[in-house]
Amino acid sequence: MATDLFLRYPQVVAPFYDGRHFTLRREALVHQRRADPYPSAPLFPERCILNSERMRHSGCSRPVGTKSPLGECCARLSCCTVQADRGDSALRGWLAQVFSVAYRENILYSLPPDRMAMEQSPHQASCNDQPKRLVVGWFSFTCCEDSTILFTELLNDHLDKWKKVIEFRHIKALKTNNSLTGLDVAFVEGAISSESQAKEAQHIRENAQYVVAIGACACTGQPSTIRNQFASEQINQRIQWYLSHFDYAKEVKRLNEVIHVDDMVRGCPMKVPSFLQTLKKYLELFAIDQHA
Amino acid sequence: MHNRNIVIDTITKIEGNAGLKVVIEDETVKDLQFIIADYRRFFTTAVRGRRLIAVPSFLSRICGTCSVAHLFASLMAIESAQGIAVTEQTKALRRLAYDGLMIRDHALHLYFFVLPDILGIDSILDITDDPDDFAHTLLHDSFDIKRLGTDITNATVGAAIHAPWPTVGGFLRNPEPRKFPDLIERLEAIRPQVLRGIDTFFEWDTSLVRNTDYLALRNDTRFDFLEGDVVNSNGKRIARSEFKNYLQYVQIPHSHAEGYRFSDTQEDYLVGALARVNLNGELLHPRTREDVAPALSAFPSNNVYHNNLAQAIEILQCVDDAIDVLRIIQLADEQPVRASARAGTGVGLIEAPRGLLYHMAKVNEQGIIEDYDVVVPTAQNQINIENDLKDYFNENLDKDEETLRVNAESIIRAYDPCMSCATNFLKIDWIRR
Repeated sequence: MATDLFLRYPQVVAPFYDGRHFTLRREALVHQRRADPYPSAPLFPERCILNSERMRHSGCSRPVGTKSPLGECCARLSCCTVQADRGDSALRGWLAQVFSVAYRENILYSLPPDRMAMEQSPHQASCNDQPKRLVVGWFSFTCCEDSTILFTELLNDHLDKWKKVIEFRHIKALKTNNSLTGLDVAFVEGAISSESQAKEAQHIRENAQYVVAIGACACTGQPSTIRNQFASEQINQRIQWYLSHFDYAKEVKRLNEVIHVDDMVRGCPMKVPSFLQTLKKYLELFAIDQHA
Repeated sequence: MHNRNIVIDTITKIEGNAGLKVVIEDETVKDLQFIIADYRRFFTTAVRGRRLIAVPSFLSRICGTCSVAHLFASLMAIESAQGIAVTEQTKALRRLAYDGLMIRDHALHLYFFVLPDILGIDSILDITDDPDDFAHTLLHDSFDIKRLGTDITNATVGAAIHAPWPTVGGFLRNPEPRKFPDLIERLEAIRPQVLRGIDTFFEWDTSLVRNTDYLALRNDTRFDFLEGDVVNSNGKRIARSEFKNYLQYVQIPHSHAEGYRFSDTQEDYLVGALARVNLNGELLHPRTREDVAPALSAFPSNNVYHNNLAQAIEILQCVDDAIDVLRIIQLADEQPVRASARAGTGVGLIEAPRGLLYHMAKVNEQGIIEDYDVVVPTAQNQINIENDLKDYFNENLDKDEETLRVNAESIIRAYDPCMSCATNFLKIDWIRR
């Protein structure tokens, strides 16, 4: 049945394969549910990731309970690790079954090469013979970008070793070829000023396993939320023109009013020891060899 | 007829968010929009009703990269409004902190944002780990240069970003002079690395030439970022308090930031390092002038890419100037100069890394801000950027789209635009385009 599912809906269920993980898109799951091959699937997760290395090692022949680096466990009909953070165990089991069949049938391993090129920076593509690196995105919304500047200062002392353990897959301040796909951690700076920014933040959330709010504007909203306190007489004609001409929301919001945030690095700009500690936490969580 | 649109949703390797939209009809640019896409925070409205003492620190949050520039411009505007004359020690320490800011800020732009354009790569992240690779050498030069700039500012004003020590009338806390000898040693040691960068940007054979007007601060005694009058290419000289009267505000429908024309010429104009070196090149530090004579021969220049070269030269200028300040400064245990609050209006007009930065504070007799105004460099350059890009596209439409995109981004990047700065203000005198 699962094989049939893939054959019937390859364009929507095709998982993204980055060399180590399959990532099934949320849209694909929604489409699947509408297509109803498995009406029992209860909830749709924001993201599902299958660790293909473990699939290979286990041979896809017997059910095993495998502890993933994220602490999720799946022991149903599967030889692979599934992380489905908003689905229940039935869904995780179902996904595991789907992917194990996909693996066994030798189908849908990866996107076509041209699609892969779109999804990944050619300079950052993962290779199987390289150790796993933490896949990171860095994003800025409404703020003064002081934490981004501070981050570029940290590169003075850390870039050489971070390049060995971190893949900067999305960081507009430093590169043109960016990809949102398959982020382990998204660091997000700034407050949310509009519906379009909120959608962008949600898109980041869907593509990242963990989201860390960076700096005061993301963590508390201040000082970017200052206009929320404006009295009506302060909203003069000129301010009103901007508010109505562009898609300004009625109120500026801190990040966790828009999306779920896993961690916060506070400060204006961010406190460096706190950022380094948080980064270390995620390197350890993803079992990245920091001495690579 | 061949019509097409070229859209760059997000211009990368700049500070903040901006995009570009070009409409081409019959192989002519019909419309071009450089879109500053950062959302406004209306800080100048927010400071109205606040006590003056709290305002400079708040306004340093306008921009993460040039926060020291906004801090100093705000301090100077408020001090002017209150009739406060700061001590020579305060002036020297501000000058020193500013040298550190320029060194760090220019190096970030030149090496992290522009260098990949020279090397033909996407990012500094793609530079190899091979120590024999020249790109690797330049990248590690940038680490040393940036670190030194940051350390100078840290030692002088407490932090390179949102500095805590400067206050109205002086300093809340004086720096520790025991840190100065080490800084002098490091500044001397960094000169060969800075010169290597200047050579690299001098040898970068690329150009976009367009006649334009230039505006910069000029202090006739030295190359100065903090004191002087405004001059333009025609020799017009304007006192800082009069500067705003010469600007025509232009509302740009597609941009979150305003634009400006210089009313004396009714033309677009450029501010920033290119303007400064064009107009004040002969005032550079003697050591700098001597060591960069070949590169200086390129100025005055109408090639916008030479804004990068001018920034590289200014790094050396700031290194040499900082050495001078550190060698002569004798720190006394000073307290900030204070005065009873009085009603008044003051202007702080300085050279931020990207060009002229104007702060105006109107204060009432209780020391409360009644009105505040800011004009930032990127907003002033916005019309110039669009006009440069129109020229570039009209002359190069035979090139493939990818080349056009890459070159358009590199032209914008040459201006070192900062969208965080550009989107915090509202100006007067509406002129609809």
